[in-house]
Amino acid sequence: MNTVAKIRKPRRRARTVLVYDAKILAKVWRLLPSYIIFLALWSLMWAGIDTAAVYFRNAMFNALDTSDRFMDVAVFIFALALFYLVVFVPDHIYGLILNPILENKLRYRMHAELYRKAQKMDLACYDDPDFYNQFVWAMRESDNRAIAVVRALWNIVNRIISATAISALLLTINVWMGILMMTGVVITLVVDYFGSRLWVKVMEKMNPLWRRESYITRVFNLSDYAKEMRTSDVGDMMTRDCEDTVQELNRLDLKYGKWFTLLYGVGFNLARRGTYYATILIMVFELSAGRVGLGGFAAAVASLWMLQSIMMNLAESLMELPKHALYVEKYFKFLEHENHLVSGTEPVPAFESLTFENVSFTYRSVFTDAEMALAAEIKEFEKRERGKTDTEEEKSPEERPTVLKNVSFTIRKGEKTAIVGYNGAGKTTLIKLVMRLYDPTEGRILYNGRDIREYDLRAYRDRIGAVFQDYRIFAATLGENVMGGGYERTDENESRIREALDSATFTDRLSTMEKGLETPLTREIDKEGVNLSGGEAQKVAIARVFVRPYDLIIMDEPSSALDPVAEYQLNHSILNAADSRDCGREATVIFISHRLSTTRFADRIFLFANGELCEQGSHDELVAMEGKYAEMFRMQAEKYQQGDIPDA
Amino acid sequence: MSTKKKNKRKNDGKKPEKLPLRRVLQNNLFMLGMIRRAAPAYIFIDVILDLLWSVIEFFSGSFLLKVVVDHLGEGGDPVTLAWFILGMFAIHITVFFAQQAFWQIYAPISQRKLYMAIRIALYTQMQAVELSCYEDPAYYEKYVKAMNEAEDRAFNVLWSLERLFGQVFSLIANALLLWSIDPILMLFALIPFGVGFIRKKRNKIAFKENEDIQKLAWKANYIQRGFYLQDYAKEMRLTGMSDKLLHDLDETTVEIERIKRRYGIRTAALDYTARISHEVVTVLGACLYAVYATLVQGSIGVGDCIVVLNSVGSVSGYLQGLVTNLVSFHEHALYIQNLRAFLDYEPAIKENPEGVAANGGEIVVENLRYRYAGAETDTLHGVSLRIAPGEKIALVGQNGSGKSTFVKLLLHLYEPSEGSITLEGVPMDHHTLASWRKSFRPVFQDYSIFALSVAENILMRPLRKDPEGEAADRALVENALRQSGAFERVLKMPHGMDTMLTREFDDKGEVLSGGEAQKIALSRVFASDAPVVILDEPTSALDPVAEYRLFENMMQACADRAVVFISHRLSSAVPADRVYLFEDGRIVESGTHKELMERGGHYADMFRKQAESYRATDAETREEVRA
Repeated sequence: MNTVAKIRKPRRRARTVLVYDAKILAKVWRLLPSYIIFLALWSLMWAGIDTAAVYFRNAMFNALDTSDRFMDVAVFIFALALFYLVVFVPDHIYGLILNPILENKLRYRMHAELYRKAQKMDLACYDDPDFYNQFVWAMRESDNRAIAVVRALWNIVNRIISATAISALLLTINVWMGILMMTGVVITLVVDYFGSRLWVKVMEKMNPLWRRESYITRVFNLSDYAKEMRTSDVGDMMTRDCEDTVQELNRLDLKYGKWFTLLYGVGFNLARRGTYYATILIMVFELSAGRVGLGGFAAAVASLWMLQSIMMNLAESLMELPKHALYVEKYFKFLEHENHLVSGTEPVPAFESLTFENVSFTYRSVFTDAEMALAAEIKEFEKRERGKTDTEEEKSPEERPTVLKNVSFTIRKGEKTAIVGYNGAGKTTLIKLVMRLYDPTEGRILYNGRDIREYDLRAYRDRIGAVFQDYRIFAATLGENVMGGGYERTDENESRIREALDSATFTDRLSTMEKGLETPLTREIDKEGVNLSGGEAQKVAIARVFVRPYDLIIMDEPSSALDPVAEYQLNHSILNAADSRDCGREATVIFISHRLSTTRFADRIFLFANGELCEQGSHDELVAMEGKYAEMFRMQAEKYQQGDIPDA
Repeated sequence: MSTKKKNKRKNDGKKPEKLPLRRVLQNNLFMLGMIRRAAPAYIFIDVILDLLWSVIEFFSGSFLLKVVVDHLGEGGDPVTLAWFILGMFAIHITVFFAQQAFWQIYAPISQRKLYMAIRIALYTQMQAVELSCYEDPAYYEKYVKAMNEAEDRAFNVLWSLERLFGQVFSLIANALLLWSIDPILMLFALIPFGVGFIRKKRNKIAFKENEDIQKLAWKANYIQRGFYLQDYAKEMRLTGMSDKLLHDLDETTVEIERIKRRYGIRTAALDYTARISHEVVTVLGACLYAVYATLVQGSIGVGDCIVVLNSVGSVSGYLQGLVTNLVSFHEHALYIQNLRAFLDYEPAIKENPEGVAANGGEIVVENLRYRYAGAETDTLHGVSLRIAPGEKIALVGQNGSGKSTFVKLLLHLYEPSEGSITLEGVPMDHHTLASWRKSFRPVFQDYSIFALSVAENILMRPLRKDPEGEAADRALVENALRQSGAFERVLKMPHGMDTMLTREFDDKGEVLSGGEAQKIALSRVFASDAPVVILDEPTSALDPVAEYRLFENMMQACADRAVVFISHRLSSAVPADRVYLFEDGRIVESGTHKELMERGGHYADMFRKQAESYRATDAETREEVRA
């Protein structure tokens, strides 16, 4: 009964719910038909068990009314016992062995499908914080929801069968009782409908307040805030805000609690108790009139108890479906999401030149309006579902990358180019365009004079080796981290990996690893794994671009985590390695940085500001130009030049 | 998130602890005490209402059945009975209505009062414990969990308690009913106790199964993150790591299936036995006995027999419910244990009520040592330095050389393992903790922006309430914003300095970029009058021009204040009055920039390397780099 106060349900149009339930059913059927078959069999079996129990009991009571021979009655008890002994065998085999195994298999198949799809998504999707928050991350739930939907559907089927069977039995005892039952059910459903609508309204109001509460808890909980909380009075302000929030929540509870009390305390209450007591009253008069025996009376009451619990359970399953439908809808939206980047078909020749032709770029969401609306709805819903104990930090939406405005330039084979500029100048966006993670809004990008959209996307990207600022080390072996997962363990591959690591100045560290290239990295999976320091990890990431003969190497601020000495050494070796390893073919390298000291050796430097290419040329030319670059360089260098450095 | 990971990791493979009965009792009473203090009437009404509900359930269920059967069996008048039933109906709906009113209106507010009281207690303690607690994984595992669970746990304890009274009543009432009909029937209700060992064994197996699966689930979870998280997305596409991960997932699935099959057979057999013992042996056995007693022995009347047939199942049901509930008290106690340990924890760094107020002056650090809990070696090995009023000090050195640890000790966020920090000759712990910390204004590399207004974020306190104070505060904030270069940005915000930052509280809140946020964090320095300013690499997200301007402003604004500047960019050390070079937790060189350069040690070496590319001409550099 207390659960009545806590039911929370979102409102969804019934048709949408049905459509998506049907879709998920079809999906599960396609992935693992045996799951649905066994679940259906099991569910039908339970409808049978429930019905049989009521009928056996009824028969037993009738026997008690009409006969006084022990065996006439006991035979039904023995029969029911035997029935239970038999049917519980398949029930337990299914419930504890078969079902867990099938569910596990289904989860795997759903996951694998989603993962493959995720792999093919435009990378731009991940840059879209809404996508990240709503679609990808919340997708964790989809397997649970699919299973829940299928279970709920079958539960509804078996409840309806049982309820019908029991109602039929009750009708044979007394028609009025049957009609009463129906009325009770209808009133309960109506009350539930209005109740759930009111809940949606209250939830909408309480949601932001709950969000505040969870934020405040996080501020106290997380170590990120601990230092500042101790060195300032922010804690008092947080407590103050928490108290305000509570006041506001109390106000809402007072306001809406009255309505809920009326709805459930009067409507629901009268319907449910009314049915019960009216049935007993009817039976009392039937009994005293001699139309029903004591046994018949007891059977009716027992059936009534059973029926009420079945109806309760049925209502729960029905109310569950809209909740699941929300997730299911998102799941299909994800699977159906169409990529904006379409691969071309042309094979990709060796790199000669890369040209930007009046390229402009404006960030646009990769989502349709419908997808966004759904995402927003899920976000609200998730908050409501997860409640306040959530400590997972939600990523706040990042700023949209700055647009690029009318950028034109050409990079030729063998050139060392530096792209410099302040944060937010558009450097990283530019690189994403080069790698065709986005397509330009206007203008063209040409590879060997041909629009990159015409090339096969995968082959095109394979030509480019990139190290990003936010590189990742995987929980795999060192060799796999450099070469890619599951590479063939041949001598040739191994020597390539070793060379690459050497070029990234990782050899010293490698010599301390007992298992060499097979050393597992990170402790995420393997407890014996090695955790690399920031600088070491960065070197492993850099080795990735040396292990294959890329035509074009992009270094997106790769040395940011290194201390000055290491940064200095690494810059040397990147250039050396890039040039020497390619059988005479000079590699083309693009460096991105906001530290000018690391890039001044480049053949050409592009200075970006506010999405525009402002200045370009060699370091000397740019300094001579006395423009922005010169100013920026001077400022960075000033402190060093003030310093009185004795001659080396 | 990372702490969450750790928790899960540590949890698997650990046997659930067992608490002595006395402890279980104490812990639950502790929680009840907390509830009683926060919402005294709530606990009382709650228990009474639930008890009332159990009473009404009994009388409207089995008892009503018996009354009807007895009454009519003796040829009683149906109309009298009808009035009785209507009376029951009236009582029933009244109780339910009262319960709804309580649950819908009164309970949420009382619960919130309770949550608030718990939260304030936790927040206060959270603020008091030393920073190193946050860095200790064991701390996180235990206390943060306790903290997250505290509110739910309070509610659960209450719920268990109210159920307890209700269950005991239902059990006794139904048992008495059966007893009055035939005492032998009670034996059947006790059968579930006889097979209790089956449940125990089953739980053990389930625990082991869970343990085995956890390890694999952990791996599957990692793979999932690899595919879903933005951080991995680029490399997943570029390195071909995805095939390996999918392959691993495949193996994991097969392995999980094997485990499920292995354990499934045993759990199925045990569950089957338990189920049969309840449904067949207990319930049907009792039915059989009742029928036998009625028809063969004639010791029970037909009416009573019917009552037995209908309610014998519920007695053993209530009994099982009661047992489960009692066990849950033990579970509550385990969590409350953590909560109590947390609340009772004596912080190592405490407010010193008799301490003197820190008022600025010369700070002398002598032979300071610090070792992190559980570490084998010291992180700081005897650091000595002094900070004179108004002095500009640079702490330089590579990452991990102990600079940040030193700052945390200086702020008394850690308790020194050895050595002393004195202010004007008075040791650190002879000052009040609040005034000590207030004499510093630190800006950390990992500064936070709070979901507060711009002004509050900068003042780190509420604006003063009186008009004069408020105007002064606003002027202070405005000046700080101008100095840090964030003023124009704030002007563009809808409510100026009263604009809410972050979207945590307000969907229309202002979200700042990395550089903007850093400027806001640095504004805190300009708005404070703490005698010592500590800047722990706070300019990393700024572009060079902004960094340069800010640095100039900082020096100007802090002309009469001491500044401790921490960096691995050596250019920032040049104008300092004194430079300390940290290496492996020691100060290896100190002096002015000039002195250190002349000495030609590590500092000079590092400086030269960083300065090189700015100094040499273009051609030279390129040649050298490629050599």
